[in-house]
Amino acid sequence: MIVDINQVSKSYGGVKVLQDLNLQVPEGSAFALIGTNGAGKTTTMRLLVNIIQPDSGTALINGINTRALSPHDLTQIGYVSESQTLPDRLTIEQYFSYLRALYSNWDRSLEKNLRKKLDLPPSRPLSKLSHGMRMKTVLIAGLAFRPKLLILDEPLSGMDTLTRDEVLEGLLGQAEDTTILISSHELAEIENFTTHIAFMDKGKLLFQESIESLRSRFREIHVTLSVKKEMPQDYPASWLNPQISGHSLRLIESNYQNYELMFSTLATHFGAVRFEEEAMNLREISKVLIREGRNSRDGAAI
Amino acid sequence: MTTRISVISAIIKKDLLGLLPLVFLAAAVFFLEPIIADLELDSDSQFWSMLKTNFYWLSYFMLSMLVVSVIQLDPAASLTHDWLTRPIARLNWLVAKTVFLLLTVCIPIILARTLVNLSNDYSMGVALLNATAIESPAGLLPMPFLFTIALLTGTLRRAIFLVIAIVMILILPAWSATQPLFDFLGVNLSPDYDALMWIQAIPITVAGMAAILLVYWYQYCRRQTGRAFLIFSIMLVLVFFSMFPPSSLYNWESAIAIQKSLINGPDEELEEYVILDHARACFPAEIVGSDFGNAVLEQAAWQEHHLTNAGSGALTFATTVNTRRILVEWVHAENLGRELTVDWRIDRLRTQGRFSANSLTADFYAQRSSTAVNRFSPITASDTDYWLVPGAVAAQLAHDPSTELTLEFDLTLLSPSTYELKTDGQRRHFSELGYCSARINSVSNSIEVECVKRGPQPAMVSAELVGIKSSRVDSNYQPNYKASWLDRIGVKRYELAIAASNLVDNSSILLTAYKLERILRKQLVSNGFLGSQSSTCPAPMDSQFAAVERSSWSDKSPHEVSSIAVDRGVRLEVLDWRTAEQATPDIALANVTVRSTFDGSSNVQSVKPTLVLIPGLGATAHSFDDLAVKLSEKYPVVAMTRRGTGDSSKPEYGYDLQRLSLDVLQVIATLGIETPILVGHSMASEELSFIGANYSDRVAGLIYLDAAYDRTKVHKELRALEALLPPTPAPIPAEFVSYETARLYAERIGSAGNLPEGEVLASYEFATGTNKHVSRFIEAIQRSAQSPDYSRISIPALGIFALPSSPEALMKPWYDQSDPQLLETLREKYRLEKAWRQEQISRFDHEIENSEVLAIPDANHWIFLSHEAEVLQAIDRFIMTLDY
Repeated sequence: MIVDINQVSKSYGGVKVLQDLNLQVPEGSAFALIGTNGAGKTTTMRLLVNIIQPDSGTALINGINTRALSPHDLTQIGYVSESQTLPDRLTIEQYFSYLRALYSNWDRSLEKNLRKKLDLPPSRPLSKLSHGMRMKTVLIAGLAFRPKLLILDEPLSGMDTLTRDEVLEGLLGQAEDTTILISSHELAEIENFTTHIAFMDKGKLLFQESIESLRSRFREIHVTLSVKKEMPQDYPASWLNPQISGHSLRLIESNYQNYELMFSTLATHFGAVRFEEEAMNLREISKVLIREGRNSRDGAAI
Repeated sequence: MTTRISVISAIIKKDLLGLLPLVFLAAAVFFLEPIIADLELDSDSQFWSMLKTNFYWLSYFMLSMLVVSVIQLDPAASLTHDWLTRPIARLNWLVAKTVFLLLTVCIPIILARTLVNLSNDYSMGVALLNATAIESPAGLLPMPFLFTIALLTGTLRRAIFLVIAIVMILILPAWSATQPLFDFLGVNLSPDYDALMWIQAIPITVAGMAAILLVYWYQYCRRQTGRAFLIFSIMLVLVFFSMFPPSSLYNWESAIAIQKSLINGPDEELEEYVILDHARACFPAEIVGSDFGNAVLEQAAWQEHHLTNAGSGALTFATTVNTRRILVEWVHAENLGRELTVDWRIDRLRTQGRFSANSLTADFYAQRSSTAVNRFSPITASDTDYWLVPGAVAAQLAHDPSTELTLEFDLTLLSPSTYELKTDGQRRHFSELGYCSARINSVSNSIEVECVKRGPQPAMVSAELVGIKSSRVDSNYQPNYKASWLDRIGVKRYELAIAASNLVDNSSILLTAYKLERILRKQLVSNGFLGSQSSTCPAPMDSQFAAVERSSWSDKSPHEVSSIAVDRGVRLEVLDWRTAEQATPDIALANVTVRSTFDGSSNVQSVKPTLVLIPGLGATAHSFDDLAVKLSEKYPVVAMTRRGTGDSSKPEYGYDLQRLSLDVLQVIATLGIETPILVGHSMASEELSFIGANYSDRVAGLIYLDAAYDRTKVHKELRALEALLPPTPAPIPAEFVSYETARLYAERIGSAGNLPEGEVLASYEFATGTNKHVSRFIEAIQRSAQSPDYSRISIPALGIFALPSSPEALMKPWYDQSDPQLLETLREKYRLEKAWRQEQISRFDHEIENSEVLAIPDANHWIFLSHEAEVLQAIDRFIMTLDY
């Protein structure tokens, strides 16, 4: 695991921002951290680069406690944040020239390629850049030294679709060996290139797993009941948000395995039924998860 | 290493680019500051002089902005700044920021200062050396505070808010809100020992430096903002208590003890040479709110709350303390060709006045005015304090015969190193003073002196005209007591202006650097409430208290007073005892002051020669008021008062011997006196000998009244012995009520003759009995002394001398007759003085071709008062031998 967060808590002035957070990011993955605003994603990421320190618990990067990251360790970590404050009076060229001196592992050709690809005007001061250009600049600044881990805090918010695609393409094309930890409040933006996903809400981790496993276990189920019935009290915990109306029942199965098993479970509760299962996209899954996470006390059900 | 350098230079480059406009602006300000400070303003423009004196504030502001800005370019207080996740080692960061500040702050300052120094004729090496020193190390004290604020805050706005908040909370209300709070808590803050306050800079500096390191550590290395703020708060509290330490922690005793342990060597002998005496027999006093004012209250300038606290009927009084000038250094002044004394100086750190009396349950400490009119006056040999005692306590003390006042002084002793410096504007180096130059400013009639000293500084620097102590100006009214190691990295500029540069020869001046030698404590005890028992020194509430009534004094001698012009704008007081016939035998109606024939070719014929009487130093023509009456029975007599004295003009020039002698000749010529006989007392021998040697055709004879001495040969041993003798007691007020009562004083001090009433009026301050002439003119006259060239005097000369007959004869009534040491001193004085006088007499007798000598044993220096008859006889005899 390149990132290993264990039982980390952090609060600001009595408000718990992170609560007993556990998070593991496998090396080589493109790991998405999903959650609404205020879920604790940014705090988690700042904690990883030692901008802030946990009140309790440990966070390790490559086995090194983030509280003890040395300048050398930081040459292996790229960090890009939407709200990054840049040395605004510098031009793009001056900024990169400054960064080049800091990193012994700076890849000038990569920098050059990316700048060319993303079409950045070298002599323009950072203060005069549009939001998109600014984000492109910081993305290059976070990637051009080929870090082992690239932490991207909401890098795409506020970008138009065209720019976003351009950026993602540029990034994905160049970040072969880099583990990417990316946060977003919307999974859809990044679903195409993430391999793993973790859901956070109110400082807690709801769950983390690979995209494949997530996609395979979530199904939207539409059931036609032969007899009208009330929703039974003892329905499985894996059924989320069941809505019964006359002869029809709609639910989300969060632990779908196969048609037969589903059919027999439904039959146990409703007798003769007919049902259809429908695969869900990540956007729908994330909506469900966030909603359910808020309703349940500890998120254990999912 | 290469990586490190490239990282550091990358950060510096980034910071330079990031702060470019500020860097340029600051550089301009830093560059201009030394240049503006060095400007010589010819115009009186208030704007320019204000700019010159205040420009450094702008420089200070720019420095603050740079410090805060360069730190905040890479702040730890931020959560979003780009640099936070960049691989920058702490050391590299620190070095980069330091180098940045050195480059942007030091280079323009050093460059400008070097240019200024070069333009002031320093050599390149000295110019650079002085340019690299810190000009006001104390000004850097707030810097750690600024650094920590910059480290703690991420933005300039927050930094400014924090500064304002701290100022609002801690500093501004210190005396309105904080002070009462501390009073309430029982913590007594005592910021009352300015001169010793440098000690407080040490904890402030240490706390500041420690705070920078700890705040940096917590903020930048540990990312623990809370702890960083905690450290900052602790620093503020430490600094506050260092600036205003509770008196329970750091009081006068401990402040002085610390200083003593740092300064005092084992040599305690020095302390015996510091002898203090009360200058007045009775302390002038005044009841607060009484109608009868004698200026004591006005001079004390009490603050309202002191008077309110003391209540109605409170009494204020003044004590004046003199220091005996025993500790002196001798310096040979090339300009004058003789040796001069330079006094050690004594500064008072603290003065306490404590009354003890049987009727008091505990000693009473009188309140001392810290706002008195003289509080910023330089250190002098005489210092006045003003005290306040509540009415009830005053009444009790005044009527208790056991009352005793103890004045306790904590003093510092400063030893001088004096150099003579030509006023040619050339810069010269002196080890204690650095590089100094002096030049005459003829527009302002002053001599401007400048010294620039790097490294350890003297406690004080002063400059004076050669031989005119009262022209002395000091660099600071309070000496610098800082330990010298604190000055090592600093440089200080001393600028002094000596006024009235034409008073005497101004081709060179004396420059003195004072060094702190010792801190000591002295007590002065007086019996009684206001100097002595109430019978001698009554308190204002007593019925016998009366003001000195000057109205009963008058000049009763039958002379006519004239004012005779002798030089442009200079008129001398001339007293004339001649009858109308004696004065104007040929032109009966002419007025003596108008009938001026400046070439002296008047054809006045007298049967008897006119006597022109010239007084001694610090005396006026009135000193002859009594003698002249007797002389005028036989001879026409006039007396004149020298310029700079009494009612004669006091120009700021013309005190060389030639000019003073010409003044005498001019008076003689104006009055139309032909070949008079000059009679001079004491210092007047200078004019007598000069005229006798150079203008012998204008006078018929010279009569020296205990005067014919060579004043250019200083008798150091005699001078040292005399300084050890107790001073003449001051008169008590009752003794100066009238001329008749003044006789009582004369008797008390064993004076053989009485000064004429007119002379007392003209020359003495009634309250203190001290001579009231302006000391710079007296010194200028004194400086004019020349070794007499008796061999060139061909006219007849009579020398009347006072000679001591025994050591016992030197014993004054107020001396402690049983003091064996004093007797020993007198014996030695007798031996030296007799030998010296005899040598002088013999020189007079042998070198003057036509001399006559009369030595009167045990005569007073005022020989014509103490032995009037003998003097009159001798004059008669002398005149009879003349060819008239």
